[in-house]
Amino acid sequence: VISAGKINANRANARASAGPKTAQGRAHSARNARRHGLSLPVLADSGLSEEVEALAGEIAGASATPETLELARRVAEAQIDLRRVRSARHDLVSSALCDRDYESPAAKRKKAKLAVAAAKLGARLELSPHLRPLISQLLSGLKSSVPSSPEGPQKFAIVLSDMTRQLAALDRYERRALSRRKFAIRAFDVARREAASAAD
Amino acid sequence: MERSMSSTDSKPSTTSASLPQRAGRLALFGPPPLLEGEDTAAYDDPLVRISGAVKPADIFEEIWVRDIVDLVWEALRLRRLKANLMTTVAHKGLREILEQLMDWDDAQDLTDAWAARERAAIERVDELLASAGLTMDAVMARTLSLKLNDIERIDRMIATAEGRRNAILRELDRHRTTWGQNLRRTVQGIEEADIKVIEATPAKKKSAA
Repeated sequence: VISAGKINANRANARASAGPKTAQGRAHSARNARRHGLSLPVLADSGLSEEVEALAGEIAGASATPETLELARRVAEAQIDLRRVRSARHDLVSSALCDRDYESPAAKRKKAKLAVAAAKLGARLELSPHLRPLISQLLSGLKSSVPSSPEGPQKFAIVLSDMTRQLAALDRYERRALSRRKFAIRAFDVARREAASAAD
Repeated sequence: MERSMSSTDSKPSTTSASLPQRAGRLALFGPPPLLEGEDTAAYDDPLVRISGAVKPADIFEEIWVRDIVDLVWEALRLRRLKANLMTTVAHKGLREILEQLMDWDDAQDLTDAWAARERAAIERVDELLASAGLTMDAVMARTLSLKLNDIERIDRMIATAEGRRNAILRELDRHRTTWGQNLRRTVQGIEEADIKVIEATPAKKKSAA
């Protein structure tokens, strides 16, 4: 449990902080909590709302009733949401694969550890000149064991492994959007069948 | 897409969608999900073949066809990845086996030469494996154990893609049944409206000679 004194000190320190000053800094900090924005509904984005309307119009057709148009809008919303999720997943994987210097967090940690070990060995080299050949050999062994940037299928497998959590989250969004679209299309089909029966 | 409808009216249009319409739809469906180094023509091939087989009759079917193609493409990509991964890390599995059959240094050198596909190294590896009663299957099994997490992950992703593809095919089936019923009713309506009662005309009397 954090003590009251510590809480007060934290609050006082926070009040003393001026926060980001430049417009760029403020804009950046405004997006601190944003990860992918997929939890926001599609209709919250004006650009996507227009696309939803365009697709809904195409689904419902020119002679649509307000009820049909509303059902078509539900289908369109789910479809555009699905596209948004897939695009986010594609961008995530694609940007990592296109990054020539991509390194997994595990490889970075290993490199950092090796650098520390090499520095320690280097310091020993100064102190114990008689161990020079052995230490030089160890240093060269350490340098050669530093993992190089992966390529090809190994890189792809590492990217998938590193992004397991993000990909699982995107997968959940995709599954929900697919389910919404399926039931929206079914509802649209039922409405269309009933309209056809009524016309008969 | 070969055929399409301007809307989901109960009967399909007989003409193809116009170019601006198609371009608009492609934008709504998003760009093809190609990764760096993937061939657009290779993606277009299943798109053309599946579109040709399904012949999407309305915009829903166009959406599903595109989804099916994307999922087929993803499963193919992951299968290729699995195979390539096993091939590219086979030397690690071999190294682990050779380390048990010879000196550590020699095992490293021989593995490197084998990975570079040097004929002498390949023959030497075959000899060593045969003398230990092993085959390349043992190497691949060791490689699989080294990459089991990756392979399992890829397998799960393939299963997800295939599951989604099958679910879409079921929806397509269900939708076509509904669409077929609508079409049948419309055709019946047209036929009933077209049927005219033909009045029986009295037969001409034969004139007596």
